[in-house]
Amino acid sequence: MATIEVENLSKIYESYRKKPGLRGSLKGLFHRETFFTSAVNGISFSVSEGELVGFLGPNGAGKTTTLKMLSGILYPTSGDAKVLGFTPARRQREYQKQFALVMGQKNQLWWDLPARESILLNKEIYEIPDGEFERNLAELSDLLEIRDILDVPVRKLSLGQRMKCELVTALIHDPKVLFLDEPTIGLDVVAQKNIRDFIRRYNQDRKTTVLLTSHYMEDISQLCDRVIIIDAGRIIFDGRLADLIQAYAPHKVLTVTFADCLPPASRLQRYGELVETGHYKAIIRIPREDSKRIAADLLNSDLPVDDILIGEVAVDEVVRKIFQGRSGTNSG
Amino acid sequence: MKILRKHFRVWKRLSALAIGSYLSSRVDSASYLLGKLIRFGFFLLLIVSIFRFTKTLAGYSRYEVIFFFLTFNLIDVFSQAFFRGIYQFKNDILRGNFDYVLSKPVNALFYSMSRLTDVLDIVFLVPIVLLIFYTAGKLPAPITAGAVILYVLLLISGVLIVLGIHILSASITIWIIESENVIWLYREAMTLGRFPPEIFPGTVRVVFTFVLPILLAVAFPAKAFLGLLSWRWILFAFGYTVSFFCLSLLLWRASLAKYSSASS
Repeated sequence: MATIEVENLSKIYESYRKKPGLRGSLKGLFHRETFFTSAVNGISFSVSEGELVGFLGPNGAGKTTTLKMLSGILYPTSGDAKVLGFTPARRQREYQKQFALVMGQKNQLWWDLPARESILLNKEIYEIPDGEFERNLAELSDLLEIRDILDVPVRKLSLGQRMKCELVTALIHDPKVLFLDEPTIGLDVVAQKNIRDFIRRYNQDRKTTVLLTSHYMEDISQLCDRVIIIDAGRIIFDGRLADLIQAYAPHKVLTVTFADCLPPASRLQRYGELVETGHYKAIIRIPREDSKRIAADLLNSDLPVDDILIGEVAVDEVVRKIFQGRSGTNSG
Repeated sequence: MKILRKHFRVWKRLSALAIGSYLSSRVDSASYLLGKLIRFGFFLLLIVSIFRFTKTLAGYSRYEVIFFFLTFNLIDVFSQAFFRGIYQFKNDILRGNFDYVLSKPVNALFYSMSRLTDVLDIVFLVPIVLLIFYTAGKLPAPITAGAVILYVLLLISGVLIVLGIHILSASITIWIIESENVIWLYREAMTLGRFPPEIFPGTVRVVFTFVLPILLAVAFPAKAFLGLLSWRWILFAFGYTVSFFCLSLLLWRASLAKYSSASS
């Protein structure tokens, strides 16, 4: 049985629109215009035990709303969701003890107090026995290297240190499922890497099922084999990252290094689309199916080729193109 | 029973965190406590001053009026001490902290109410209780066991009504995020209970007994203790409290289904 099963899940938000100005405010006292926004629109997917799946999409695509429905925070408007066999919207204690939620833009730590205090509060809330608590705390704080900052008031910590403490607080009850919503947002590159390394290791060691949303392509490409791309509340791709590139990038990229100065552009353009040039280097975009033949042609030509590298188009470029294409389609 | 024990442990931990927070801002906390003492002292002085010019107020003697005032304070300070979290509830929703509460294996209402137990108000309860004992001893009528039991039961009933008002306020905050002022409406209306209800016009008494039952919560216990409440009114008070409290819980449940969470 899959750990997470989602079937035709939808969420429609109801909001009110107020007209601007004093007149609008006065009118709003008696009549408010109601409007509905479809945040998630009939999505279906399943996640197996121990999988680490990336949830990718632009702002407002429905990623966070989906995580909130899976955490039981929001009631779905329609459809079914099951996590570990539980229906999240029922908010059963047995389920809540088996998952954790970390939101990069929100915090559950007490601001004026050391993180240890918030972790101790979670010990009581999750009813963790003393021995297990001490063991988990020691393991997690060693993994994240935060033993020395557990007793420092949270307000004095850096953003990266705070996120590490958030992770320890959220994971202290050893959950089977982990929902991570933008865990690296706002962090510098070193801190991002530390958090990524931790998530990878935690997933491998404990076989925890992880659903991760992020704006940073690096997070997804470094951590997830599988990616679910969501846009305007609908899933537009669900599969392996490699398959995403195959499906949406009909080109490969040839990086050619020359032993001598760069040949004239007109000669290189015969092989494909010239993307970038340097003193001794040219990057050429070529059709995927012809990549080997074109590389061989280049080597056999009279051009002073020193080295050829056949590579895939960068994942973020692929994803950017997907969204650009869709926004063009949507607006059109 | 296990659930109760767990929630008591969570409450103890939350209170420890709140104490920690207060201690981290000692000057603020001391000013807050001093401010409360001054307000309390001045009002007591006002009552004493009024009785320099009159023998009774709406038919009540000096110590009877003080008894009403102290009973009001007992319930008001108790609810301030233990349900203080509600004053942060709108912030919790706007900042998304309530999302975390809803995702944890703890009663969300209990957590939100008691997440900021006010230790300073708990300290303040001690002199109030001592003054109630002192004032009760000065009342003209003898104290009976029945009056004491009724007083305690109606105090509990009063706390439940105030708790119900807090729950209603929290529910409305979820439905309409702009509704932070509901709890402040209650705070202002609550001041009515500092005096015996008979000093207000009949319409005011009706509204604040049946619609927003402030008088029922704070004036009824004192009236019962003074032997001025008929059995019919006592039964009404208990019946109303149970209905009001259950209604507030139903509305809370309905509001949770409507909860739309703050955007990330």
